[in-house]
Amino acid sequence: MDKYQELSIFVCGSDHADKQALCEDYSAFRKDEHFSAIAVSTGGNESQYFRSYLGARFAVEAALDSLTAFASSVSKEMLFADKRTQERLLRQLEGSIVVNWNEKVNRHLENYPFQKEELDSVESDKHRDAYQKGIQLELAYRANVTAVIATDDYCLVIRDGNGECVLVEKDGKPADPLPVTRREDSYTLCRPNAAREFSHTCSDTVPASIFLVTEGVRRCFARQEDYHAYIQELTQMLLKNPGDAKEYLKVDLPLLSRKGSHDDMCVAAIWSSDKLENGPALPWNTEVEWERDAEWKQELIRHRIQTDEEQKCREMREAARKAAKEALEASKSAWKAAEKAAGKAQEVAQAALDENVIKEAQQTVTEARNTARKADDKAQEAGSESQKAQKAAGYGAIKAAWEAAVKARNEAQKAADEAWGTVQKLQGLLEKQPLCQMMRETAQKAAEEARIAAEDARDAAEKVAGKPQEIAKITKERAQIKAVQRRVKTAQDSAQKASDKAQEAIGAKNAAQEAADYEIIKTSSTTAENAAQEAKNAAKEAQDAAQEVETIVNRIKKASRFKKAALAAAAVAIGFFLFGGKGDSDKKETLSAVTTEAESSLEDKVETENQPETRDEEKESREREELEESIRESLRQESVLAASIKESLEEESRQESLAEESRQESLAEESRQASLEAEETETEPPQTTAAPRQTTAAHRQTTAAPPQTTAAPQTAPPETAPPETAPPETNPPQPETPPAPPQTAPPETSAPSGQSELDAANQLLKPLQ
Amino acid sequence: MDGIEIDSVKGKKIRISEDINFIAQPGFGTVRTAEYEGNPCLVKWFSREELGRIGCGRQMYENLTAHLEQESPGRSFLWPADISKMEAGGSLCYVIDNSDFLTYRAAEKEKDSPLAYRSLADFMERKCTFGNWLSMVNTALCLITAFSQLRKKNYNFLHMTEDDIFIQAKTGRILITNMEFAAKGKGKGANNGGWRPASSSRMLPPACVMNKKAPDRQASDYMLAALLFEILYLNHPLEGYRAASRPVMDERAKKEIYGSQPCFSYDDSNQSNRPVPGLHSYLINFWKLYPDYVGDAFSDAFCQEVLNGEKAPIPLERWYHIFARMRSLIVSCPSCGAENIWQSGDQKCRKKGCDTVLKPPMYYYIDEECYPLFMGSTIYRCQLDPDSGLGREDFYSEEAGRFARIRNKPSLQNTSNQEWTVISPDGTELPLGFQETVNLTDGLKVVAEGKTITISSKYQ
Repeated sequence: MDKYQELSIFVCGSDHADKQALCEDYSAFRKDEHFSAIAVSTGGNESQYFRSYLGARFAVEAALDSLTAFASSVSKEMLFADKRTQERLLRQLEGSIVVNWNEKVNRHLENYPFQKEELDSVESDKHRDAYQKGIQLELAYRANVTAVIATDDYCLVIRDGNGECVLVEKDGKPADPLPVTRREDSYTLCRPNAAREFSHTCSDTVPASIFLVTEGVRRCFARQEDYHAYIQELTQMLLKNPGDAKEYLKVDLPLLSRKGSHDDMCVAAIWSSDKLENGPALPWNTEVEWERDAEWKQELIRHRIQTDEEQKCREMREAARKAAKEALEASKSAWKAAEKAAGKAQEVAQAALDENVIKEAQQTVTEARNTARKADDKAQEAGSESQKAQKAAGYGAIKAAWEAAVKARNEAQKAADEAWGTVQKLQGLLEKQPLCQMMRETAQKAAEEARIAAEDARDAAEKVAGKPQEIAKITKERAQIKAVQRRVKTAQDSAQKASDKAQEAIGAKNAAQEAADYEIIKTSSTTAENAAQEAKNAAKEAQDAAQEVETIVNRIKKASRFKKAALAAAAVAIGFFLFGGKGDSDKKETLSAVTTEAESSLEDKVETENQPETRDEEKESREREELEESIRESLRQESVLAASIKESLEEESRQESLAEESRQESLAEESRQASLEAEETETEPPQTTAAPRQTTAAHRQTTAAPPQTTAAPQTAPPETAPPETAPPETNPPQPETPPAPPQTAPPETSAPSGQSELDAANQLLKPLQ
Repeated sequence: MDGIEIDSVKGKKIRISEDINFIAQPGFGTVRTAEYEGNPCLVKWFSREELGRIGCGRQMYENLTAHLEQESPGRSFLWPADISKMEAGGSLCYVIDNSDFLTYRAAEKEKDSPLAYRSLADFMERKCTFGNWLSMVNTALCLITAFSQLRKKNYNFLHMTEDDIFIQAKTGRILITNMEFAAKGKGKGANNGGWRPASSSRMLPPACVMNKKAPDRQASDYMLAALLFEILYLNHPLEGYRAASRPVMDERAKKEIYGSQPCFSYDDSNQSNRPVPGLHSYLINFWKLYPDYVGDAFSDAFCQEVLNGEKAPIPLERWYHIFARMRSLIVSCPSCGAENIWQSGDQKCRKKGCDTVLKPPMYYYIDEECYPLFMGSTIYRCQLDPDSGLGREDFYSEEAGRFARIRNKPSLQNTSNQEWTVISPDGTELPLGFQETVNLTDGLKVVAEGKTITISSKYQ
């Protein structure tokens, strides 16, 4: 194969460059010992084809892959065997390009699904909806492709879309082997029948050079001749110095785009110096032509530079005009803001109660008007600078004027922003007025609530203030009195605190009423609310303390009543006792002792009852009933006991008299039968007489320990039978059996409340025994 | 007159003009106009170079010479009437005994004529289209008939391409041009001597493509299935992604796709060879459009068991039944005239923008198969007794009855030359002679040619 060289270049068009968008054209080449291939592709321009820059790259790669495989397998003989075979070979090739492009797109989609930002950028609802539903996703990669392969003995051009191909034959004349039809403008690889929309041509001779360009380059030329002249110029440059040509294209294509199509630009070429040099002489391929061409080239470059400067001046003037216009708009906007601020201030004046607020609103309006005046001045300044820029001749002067205009524009815009800021401020002020009123009302309400709470607390404290003195009259227990005093003090302290907080709330309320600033009002309102809450809490504490005082006092009074009842019961018992027997001074003492005992017992009970945390009302009433019942029971038992005691005392006195008689008789016989009588006296007669004593003693011993006998008889073990269940007459005589041991007594803590009264009665009888 | 004059084996003269006389280009050779004993005729011409490419010129010649002793199996074949004498290293031509091709030439200048014969390849490359679905189904039935005729004469094709089948787009008539490769088999599984062209045929089963087996009757059945698939879907059944992704379809690729690793493009168990959007759009669209039983039949015909030779291909009788049924399901929309394939119950017209609902007023049942009864529908003889006429020329298009509105009442007319028996819903039996009609009522039965046609107003 001849020594072919390849070139491919693609640059961003002016439209895309200005928008900082990506270049949607792509080109590449591939070469081997036996072939050279180039391909160009144009991606879709609309927003729905947001991945077309990738689609273009995939298209070029797919085309080059397929062409490479094609060139490796298909010989000239196969390709040109007959038209039908050629057609089928090329259809197969084009189909493979479509398949490979689809495969690349699908693989990319799998790895990089559409992002939300990409879908949001789609302007067409129809396409966005389709993408969201997963329909026709490949459309986002829309691209066409044009490719050429030149082998040793044939050249093949295929195209799907509107890429241009120009062949420069050995005689230097350019030719368009595949003219683009209007229909082909819309052909792309993502269409349903893409494979059948390819056009192709092949030739069994290979041209000197082949150019592929995208639509953006072609549209820069109005006439076909100009386009061909440009291609010839490029060919010339490539032949002369390929490196320079590439650099030249890098600079020239963006300029060409700006002046022409504004579209992305893409050029790919294959050329062979041998073919051109060895073939028919090119019309410009002479030294003279070369020199002339060089001069023309320099002239062209100069012209372009000049053109570029003029272009820049035009752009600068336009920019200055634009800045002046924007400044004027900013000025108008500032005045509009000032007017709006005035309106807002009016509204504030109507809504606000505070004079300071109204003044503040008026000042803000003045400020807005001043800012608008400033914007106006700056707009005028920008206008005059713009006029200067229009009149100035040099690029520097124009630039200076443009800069001044832009500066003035910026200041005007800043002033307008400030003016709008005042409107915002007034709007805020207006919006806060109802809130201020609401806050004030809240503070007032809180202060009133605090005052009421303080009064309640004071009442509660006053109500219980005399309770310690009152209770001191009822009980002599200092602990109880102190407990009452402590609670009274608590109530008084809480009342004082509530009073303080109420004062604080009232102060905050006053502050809220007087303040104009929203923040101060808000703070005062919050303070008043907090103080009111604390006052309420203190009042509640005072009331609770007073309540406790009342409870304690009531309990003490109740206990006092129980004590009196117990004393009365004891008095009844004693009276009964006194009525049934001996009435001497010992019995009076006994009565006194019983009374004291009953008192102490009842005081113990009262103390026990005074534990409010372990008692409740129901239990109290139940215990009271039990106590009364036990007292009644004890009184009954005492009467029975008193009767039995009376009988035992009579029997004892009888036994004593009989014993006295027998002692007299025994003394008479003592002298006769000293030893025998002594034995008889030890064994029989004393047994019968001693038994009641022993029993009585046992009984006495059992009842002799008042604390132990308060234990519950029901829970006592069988061997510690309670006294009431072991009457003296039923007890068997057991001289060797020790009396019921005190250590077997049950613990005192489980004693029922009524047992103590019974024990007290027993204790009362003890001296009598 | 300039030209080449060749002696035939029958001792006659064949003159081939050097003027433009090209008629058609089948898979191998060309069909040209010529003179046979001074009368115009068609010849199939193989140049010396082409015979060299085919690589089996001598066997072809012997095969064609043997054909001269046989009558043409049917109208669909370009059967040789005479053949040139074979000279060593020379060309070969044979005179075609078929006037259809001469009448309706497939020449370039007449290609737009609906009566012109165009190759199946042209249809597949969208260079032409069928006139309507009816002509397409008729093409399929005609092809099945042709294969049936060949089978009756114990012929099998050793090679076939889409270029060898010529179709009249309007009527659906076909012509098969590669008689040089129709070889007499020696019974079921005969190897036909083992010769064939150098290049593989895409129509043969994989075992034959891989040269493991010579084409036989089963290979013909497979070939028929492949051709029917191409007629319906304009795509080869094994050409999906795998074939499309290859830039060049050389012999190695052909062996792989049609021989060593065959895979039906709609294989249920293997999705690696699915049709590609942008390339096989027709197949993708029409696979969904045709009735399911048609797609199922093709899935059976190209399942892996058949491709591996473990299972016999679908016999042509079944294909005949499938396409005869399909033809009776083609109905025209009363509003827009678009053809639809009725599948079940009421269905909307497939044409975009036409919302007409196609609702058959009644249905008729033959062998428990339901057909829509629209006025103008035809009952074909092949629906009533397909086996009796299979292989008979034009049997597939013979009418047996016609539904028509007579005195504003839906009626059935007996258009066959046999007497039918009408059984009314109350059991009364009446004869129905040629051209006689009977009013259609729900439950009416007509016994025609041994089959009972039941009229019903309900779709079951």
